[in-house]
Amino acid sequence: MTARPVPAVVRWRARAARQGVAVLIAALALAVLALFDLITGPSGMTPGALWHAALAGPEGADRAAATIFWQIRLPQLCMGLIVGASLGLAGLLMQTILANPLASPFTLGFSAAAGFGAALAIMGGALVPLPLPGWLLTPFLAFTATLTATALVWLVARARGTAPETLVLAGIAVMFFFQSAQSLMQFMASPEVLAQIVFWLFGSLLKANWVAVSVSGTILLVCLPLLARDLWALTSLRLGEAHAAALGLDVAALRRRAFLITALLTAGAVSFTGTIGFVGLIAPHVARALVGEDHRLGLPAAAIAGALILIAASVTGKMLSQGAAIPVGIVTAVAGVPMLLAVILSRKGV
Amino acid sequence: MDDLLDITLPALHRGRTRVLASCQLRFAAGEVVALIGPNGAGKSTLLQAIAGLAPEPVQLTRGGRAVARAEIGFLPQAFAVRAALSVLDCVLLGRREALGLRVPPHLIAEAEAMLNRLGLSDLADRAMHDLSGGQQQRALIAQRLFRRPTLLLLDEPTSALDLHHQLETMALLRAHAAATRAPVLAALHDLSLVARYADRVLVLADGRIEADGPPEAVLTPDRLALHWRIAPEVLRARDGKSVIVPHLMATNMQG
Amino acid sequence: MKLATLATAVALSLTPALVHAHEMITDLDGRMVMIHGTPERVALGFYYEDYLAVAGPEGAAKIVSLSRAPWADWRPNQWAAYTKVFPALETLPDFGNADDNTFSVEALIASKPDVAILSTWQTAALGEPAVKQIENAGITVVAIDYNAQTLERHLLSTRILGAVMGQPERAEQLAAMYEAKTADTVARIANAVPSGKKIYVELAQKGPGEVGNTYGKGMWAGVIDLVGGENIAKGQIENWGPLSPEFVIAAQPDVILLAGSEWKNKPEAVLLGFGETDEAAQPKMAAYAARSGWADLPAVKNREVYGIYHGGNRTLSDFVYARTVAKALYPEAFADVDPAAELVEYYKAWLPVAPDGTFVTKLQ
Repeated sequence: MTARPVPAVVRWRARAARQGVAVLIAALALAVLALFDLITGPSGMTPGALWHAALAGPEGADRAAATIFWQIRLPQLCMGLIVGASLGLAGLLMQTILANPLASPFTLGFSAAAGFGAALAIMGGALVPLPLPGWLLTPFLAFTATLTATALVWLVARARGTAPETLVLAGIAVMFFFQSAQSLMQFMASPEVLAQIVFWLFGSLLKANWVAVSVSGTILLVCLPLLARDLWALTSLRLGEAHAAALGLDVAALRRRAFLITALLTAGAVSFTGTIGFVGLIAPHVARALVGEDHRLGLPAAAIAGALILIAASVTGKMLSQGAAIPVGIVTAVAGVPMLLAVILSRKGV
Repeated sequence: MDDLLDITLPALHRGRTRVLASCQLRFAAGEVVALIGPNGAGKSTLLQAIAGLAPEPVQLTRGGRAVARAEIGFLPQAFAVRAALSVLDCVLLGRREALGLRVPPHLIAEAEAMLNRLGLSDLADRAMHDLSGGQQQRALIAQRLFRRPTLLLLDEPTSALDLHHQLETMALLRAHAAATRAPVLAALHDLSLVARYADRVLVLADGRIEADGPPEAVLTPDRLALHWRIAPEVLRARDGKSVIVPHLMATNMQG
Repeated sequence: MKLATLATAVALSLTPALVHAHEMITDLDGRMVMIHGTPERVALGFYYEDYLAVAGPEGAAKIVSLSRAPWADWRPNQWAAYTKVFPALETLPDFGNADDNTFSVEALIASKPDVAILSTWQTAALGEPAVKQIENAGITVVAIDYNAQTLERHLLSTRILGAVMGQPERAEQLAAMYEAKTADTVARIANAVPSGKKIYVELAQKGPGEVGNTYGKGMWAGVIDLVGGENIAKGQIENWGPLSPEFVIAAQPDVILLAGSEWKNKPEAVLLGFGETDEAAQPKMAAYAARSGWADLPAVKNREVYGIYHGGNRTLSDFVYARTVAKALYPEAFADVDPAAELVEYYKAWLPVAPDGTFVTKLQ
């Protein structure tokens, strides 16, 4: 028999400290990678030159350096951080409300819808009677299409309840619908338009600019406090629907709220960068490995993990091909496989 | 605190079939009530309805004021928890509404005390999905007790427990009811356990509450034969409580 | 003709007055661009030969970075011919290709040009924000367009190149020459009996087994429109894309144009251009003529199958190919016109390389 056992409060604090440190380390790793991302790129600018450009500000005298730093590298980095965090959060929410560790932000058809919207814009941008320039039309239509998919799944949820099976089935139906519509667009497109659509689907940070950053960033910032209110409710949902309901939780309402936030986050992320896969699937697992099921730390951990994966992919893409950066969506797909294997192997057999 | 708890329920339906007639229940403070009945009688349905989880609205009043749904602790029939949450976390979730970004240390201490009373202190930091069915059940009971409900509803709370823990849990429920003055309504299968630990027994059969009274009055051979289709012996244990020894009816080939 | 030349000379003598050190021009995207003197460093996105024709021999040295793929990959022998004369081109930084989205704004900016000369399809693919990024870095962006294959845009693009590179006289001469040739072509056609012949043009890159792209608007379609031919792809194809073989046979074209270039690793393609020979091209063209159903097409029966250099399309030299097609449609009207010789003349006058190779040919 051991001597006086350590009181729960002490153990609790110790665990919280451990988890806090883990998240802090992840954040530091992210900061380091972000720095790396800033200093790599096809122009071959030295860190010293970049530092000077940073200090000189966006209106600095050396226009080339200032533009490269302030208009190209920094927006790409910010976009990567925001999109990674959004997808990581959306992934965790999806996995919680669908009670499925294989769910991702794209499970309910959002990526197919976004792809369709983008294809529509790229193909027939001139046909759409909106006073938007081409580069803004694509994200706009992608966003709208994603929200349409959201509305469709929402309608089904209202009519038939928010049980995970119902949501997934509705999502699959929506996904197939938009997927086939997208395929139809691709079929009708001329080869150069087709190439553009396919490239958009890869997912890339290359076209990041401050407008995109502000829109996606705003969406993320708006969703964060909305999520904060439901932290414990989401953790309770992990007990299973029956027990969560028995604890007084309105499970259906919680699922609907979380679903809406997920849709918003996903739409905000993919509309500008294209469908970047794997981040939303892997980040929640990394978060869970770091801090467990408690969503108080789990949500920020998922956001940081998502940003980590995406920035790491961005750096890798830039280092693999000096001249033309490989689209980051391809790198995450390639890197996602070993990550998934690592997660599977690290699980203690459940 | 010592007021009576009144429950008014309309008729309960599943689809178009009427499962239970409307009823009016009254529980005294700290009363431990057992809900028994043959399979499919509607015990779970009744408990869910009282907990507010059925479409039909339920009215609960105590001492003149309405009892909110949040004040009811309900443990549904064994649903396995597959999360990696620690047992301590799980118990804390019982008072989810009191939790913020920081969890107050006094809550943690109370949760720990609750775990001790259920003999789960060794398992406090284990993940829920690592526990056996019985351990999970006790952890969930701890969570519901931690919630300090005004009314505790339990559906088969001892179904996965071994004999020792069955007795311990029932004793704990009685102690909890006495201490907090909250009535406990538990659906139970084991009639001897009912006879031993319940203050009052409700028999649910044929779509209505067939009997309502102390165990000795309700657990008669005739009633048991009528609803359970067994030919029981009702014996007395050394402390005077009834013990039901079931036998199949000789004439009933279908059992 | 002489009057036109005289008028041109008079006009030219007046233009020096228009050349200022600072000038505001409108490029072919509608962008108002301020020219601050003659640039020393140029980032060249496309239209390489036209740039060199207008900018003159000093123009090559000013190129500091380029979009390499459309030149070195799409027309490798042409690239080889030019790098022989300007070896520095070989080691210039490549800022990628807007066609397959490998365009790196950063790389372009890093080469520190004064001006970036891009095609309108490149600025369209890049989008407004990216162009703004380039301008933000202090680089003037000028967009020109020869792809539309219209006389107006060809002339405008040429004159803009002249204004930007400080070579307005050369530009004016080139524009005048192109305009004159085109006017001559149109005049001969106007005087001839309308041909009403149906034309099918195909990019002969993938070999007879696969259907190559044809053109509905712009590029070769523009040439066909100019010479009054009936493009069977018109209305069927938006810009470019493959036609269904069934449709081609049903349309019964009278003239078939096989567009070839100096592609590498395309064993069944019709190879034309710098360093290519007619002897090698003939059997390749014959293979196309032997496609199922083609033997009965009027074009094949009458041996009206021509090979034309795809690289010549959308450049100032495309008048040669327009005249080749016109000659096919109106043989009597163009009996005294020798497009191949005119091509040699053009290169001799304006470009530092000689067109050693086969650029126009006919199936025997």
